[in-house]
Amino acid sequence: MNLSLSEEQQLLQQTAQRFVEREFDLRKRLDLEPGHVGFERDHWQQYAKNGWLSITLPEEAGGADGSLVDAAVLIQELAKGLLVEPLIPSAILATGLLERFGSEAQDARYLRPMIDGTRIATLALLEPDSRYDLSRVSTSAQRTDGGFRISGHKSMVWHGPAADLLIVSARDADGITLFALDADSPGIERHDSLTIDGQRASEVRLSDVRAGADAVLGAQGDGELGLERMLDEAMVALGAEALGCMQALLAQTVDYVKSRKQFGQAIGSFQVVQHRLVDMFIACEQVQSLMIRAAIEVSAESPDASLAASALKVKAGQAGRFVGQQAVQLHGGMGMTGELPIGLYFKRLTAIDAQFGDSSHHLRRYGRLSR
Amino acid sequence: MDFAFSEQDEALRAEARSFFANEYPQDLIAKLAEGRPLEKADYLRSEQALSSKGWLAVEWPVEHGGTGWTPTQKYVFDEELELAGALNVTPFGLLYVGPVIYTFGSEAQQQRWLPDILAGRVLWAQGYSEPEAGSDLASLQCRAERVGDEYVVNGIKTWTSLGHHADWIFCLVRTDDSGRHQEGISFLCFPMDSPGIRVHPIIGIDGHHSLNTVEFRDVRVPVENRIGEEGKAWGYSKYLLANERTSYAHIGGKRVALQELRKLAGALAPGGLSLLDDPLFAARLAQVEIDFRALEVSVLRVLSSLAAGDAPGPESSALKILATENAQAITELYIEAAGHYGLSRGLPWDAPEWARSAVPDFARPAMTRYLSTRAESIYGGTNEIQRNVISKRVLGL
Repeated sequence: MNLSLSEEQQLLQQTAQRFVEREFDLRKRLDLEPGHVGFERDHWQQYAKNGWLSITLPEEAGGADGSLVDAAVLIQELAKGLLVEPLIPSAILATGLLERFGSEAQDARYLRPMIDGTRIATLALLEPDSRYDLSRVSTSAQRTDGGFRISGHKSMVWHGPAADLLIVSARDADGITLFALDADSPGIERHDSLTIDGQRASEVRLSDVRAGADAVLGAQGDGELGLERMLDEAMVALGAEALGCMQALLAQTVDYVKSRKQFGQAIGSFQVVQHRLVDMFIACEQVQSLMIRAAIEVSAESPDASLAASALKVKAGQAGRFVGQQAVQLHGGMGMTGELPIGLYFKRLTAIDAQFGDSSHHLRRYGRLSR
Repeated sequence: MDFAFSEQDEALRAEARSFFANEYPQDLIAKLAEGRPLEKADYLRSEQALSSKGWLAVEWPVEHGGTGWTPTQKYVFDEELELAGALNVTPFGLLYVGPVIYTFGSEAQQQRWLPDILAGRVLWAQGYSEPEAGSDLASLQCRAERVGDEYVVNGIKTWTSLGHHADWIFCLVRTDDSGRHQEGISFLCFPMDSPGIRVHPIIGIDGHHSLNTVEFRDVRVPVENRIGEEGKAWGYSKYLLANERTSYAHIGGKRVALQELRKLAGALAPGGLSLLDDPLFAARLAQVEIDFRALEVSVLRVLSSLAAGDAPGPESSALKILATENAQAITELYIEAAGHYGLSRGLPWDAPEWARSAVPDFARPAMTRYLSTRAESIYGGTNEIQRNVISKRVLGL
């Protein structure tokens, strides 16, 4: 057993840490026009140069020969400076699906340009009535001569405005099939909006979108299996991001209570405040432990992968809510303003809980899987 | 013991229900329900509608133009107002400074300020908190120096709700710093358009502008605008904070929200199951409802004591904590009910119909309310301070 970071992982962590210090200005991270794509393209190019857009890919696939554990280390560090780039949907989740199921043609057309940062992919899986259930798909794929016609409505498509490629789930005679579609295909309409954490999401309408047989990702009807695996990867990535946000909040709140004086003393000298911060610290440690477990199990595709992944998402949701709320509470009025980064992390943590299943959803999934 | 309201109370309830259904501006109810930010004209129109019925200053005694209602009648009225989804009155003029003016102000001050408040013609702001004086309010530093017949005010007030809309502000200012912190504080009222005042907006974490920082540079305030004696305002302000405590319960609003949640959660999803069929959500909702019931009865116990002419018991000191934590728990249930649309801010009104209609109506304001309701455990004395008060005054620790 060895649960310490390897030398390479420590190096990755330090590189990411220095990148955040050098490149991320928290006040400017989200201060972009509503019509803006939501992040600086220049940062995305630097991600590509650092090899971060292929961090989970083997060397022969043009990757950095890392694993999901490395990705988690990277995401946790970047999250301390607020991760607003589409790293998780494009470079982890869509990349994972393309690597596992993509044809050679899809590899050349999508994956290669995604690795060098010239194309971005996202997932169009949820629908107005699906809640968090990825198998509740009413978007339909009808067979035509040599291909499909796809129609439906996809909801809350994360980073929709930036996406060149949409991975769309649709129902056909064989079950759920995944399609790789160019985002500008005729028949695709998009309406972008800001989410509560200042990021972008889109409602996407597909009206008789024509897709060739070569647009199918993997085998027809195999979508559900692929999505389960992707979901586990999403848990690890989002768990790592939540942990980075929580650790940033803890550090900033500890600093604040040392300097904020009321009744003639630092409020950090009051026991109620001390114990609260200790509980926030313990919450971070719990998420860190479950994150290590999930990253390793999912990376190794072990039989316990989904259980470990849902356990992480449950705790990340609960602990993230607790740490976020208490960071705001201990900052008093200052915590309620947009002037401090506190609110930005708090909102991101709240949003993370509402992505790929909230803590209740994964509590149910955990219960089902452990029967 | 019984829970029945008197005939008079029930008659008032019926009259209030009819008023809010028929005479009160219905567009304001709709605007509030959609979670759209309110403007000054909205507050004034709501208060003028209440005023024309004689129901604006429900807390005030009859001789000052109030309703003279019993605490139970005020409770019934407040509950009906919230059940109807109408705007709560702006507290600063009606609940806070008004009672200070008619209790501690001179005859001339009462004639000068009370009629405008009673008629819903002006909005007031409260100048209490400062950047370095929050929970420890007595450490405030905003200074008023006496020069002839005027005070010259310099300093900063913050977390000023409605400061950008207000016509007048009442402030706690330091007129003497030679004694204890609680001494040497005076109570001044002055117009917000006085030379030397600058209002800086504070954008909240919900993205809305409701708070402000107000800066005073050599603002000249006539001595006749001081309420009560110089240096004695700490006592007046404590009287005012006592008025604040019972105003947090918002029983009607919580009842409406919980009923709406139950209805939303009970609506069948395409799969044939509802959120209420999910034992996890059903249990969570039940838990919050049970906390609500405990809060409601605690409020009724206070009203019952007051009606019997007794001082409220220790249950009253827990009300602020119970009410605000329950309010926060309700907003969390709304987010959970919204599911994957929980992080949506709702789409703009000019978004295409196919996209806009996908986001459930209740999901639009859900997250904004979750974020803004976090303030409830901070303002009016943080819940940590409230617990200190209970441990000292109630438990004697």
